[in-house]
Amino acid sequence: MRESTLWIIELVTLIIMIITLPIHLINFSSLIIGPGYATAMSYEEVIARAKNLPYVISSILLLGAIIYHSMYRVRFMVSELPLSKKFERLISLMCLIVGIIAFLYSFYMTIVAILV
Amino acid sequence: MEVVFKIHRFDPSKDVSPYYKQYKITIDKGTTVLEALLYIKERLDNSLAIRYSCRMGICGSCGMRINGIPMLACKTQVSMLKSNIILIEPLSNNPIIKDLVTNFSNLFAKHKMIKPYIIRKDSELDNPTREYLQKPNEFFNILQFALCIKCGLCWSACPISSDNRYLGPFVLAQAYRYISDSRDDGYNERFDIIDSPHGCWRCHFAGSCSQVCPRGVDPALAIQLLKKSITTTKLGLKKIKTAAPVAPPLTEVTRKLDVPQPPPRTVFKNQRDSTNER
Repeated sequence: MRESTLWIIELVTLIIMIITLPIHLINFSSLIIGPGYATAMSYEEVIARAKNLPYVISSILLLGAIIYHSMYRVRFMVSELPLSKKFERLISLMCLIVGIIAFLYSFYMTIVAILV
Repeated sequence: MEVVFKIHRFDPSKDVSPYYKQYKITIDKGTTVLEALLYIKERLDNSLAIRYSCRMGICGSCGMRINGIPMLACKTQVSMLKSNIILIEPLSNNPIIKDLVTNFSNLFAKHKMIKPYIIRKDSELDNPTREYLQKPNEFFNILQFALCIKCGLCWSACPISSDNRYLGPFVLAQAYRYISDSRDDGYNERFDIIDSPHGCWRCHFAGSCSQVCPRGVDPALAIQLLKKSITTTKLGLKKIKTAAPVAPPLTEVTRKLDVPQPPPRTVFKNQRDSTNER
């Protein structure tokens, strides 16, 4: 894939993060400072929140965006090292595989939380 | 005023590692670092290797790190440095040939890769007939970036240039200079190299290249504009420009009736131009 395409995807993930991260933080901060703080972190409350579809979608988007952003930046930093072209490609491939595994795992955990 | 110059010395053919040698000299108000170095070379140590040419900040040959900052030695007055001990080192990120002279071949090879010249699809460059039409605002868009003297100070200051495959600030600034030139038609030819893994996307926008540029070129701005240009073109928000047309042939010129005829020629072919000293 071309570097400019990867860059554009990163710009998209940044926009996603700008939108979904405040949703995520506000959701939790309202729990902490709100009246329901005492029970908010109980197992039932957490599961109930996990089943809220808009929140689930925003969490999955946030997870995907953060994983892409972090893996892209790891690749970015590693590519500045004096490595051979072959090794550089290997690093790119590893970042892709680690990113996919991390996303699938976090996606699975979110779905499991809904199905519980 | 007495100043101590602590100069980086290294001859790869003789020395195992670089070392610093000190020279104490008296300087006048307005003495430049280059003048001081030439004084040292002429009077104290003729083995010192320096590269210089124009002595007036035009050629970009005398770039070196002065007290750790990449500068042109000919444009830097010793009194400006406000220090009695001046550390002189070669530009970083380039192999050292000897003492303060570094090898720019890698940098110039990258410069060549981005095709730093006007590219046209028509045959006008090979068989020129007339000038290209360029509006003043189109000219001013590229003017700042066209001032680059390829001194390599930006490359030395760039924190990413330790990655030797990175194209670097001045090469990318030149790429932008030609891509944004209204007369140029070579966007697609340069795209592959600029959009490569070690192209413009590697820039972290530290901005040190723009800080040290002796000509105010602002390579960091050029790189960001390059990124913007590629992104908007790729997203279809900006069309790839068509190159400026060639000026149409002049139509017949007729003299206005109220404009008087010019006086007869006073200088002729093969005549010595002694009368033209105005």
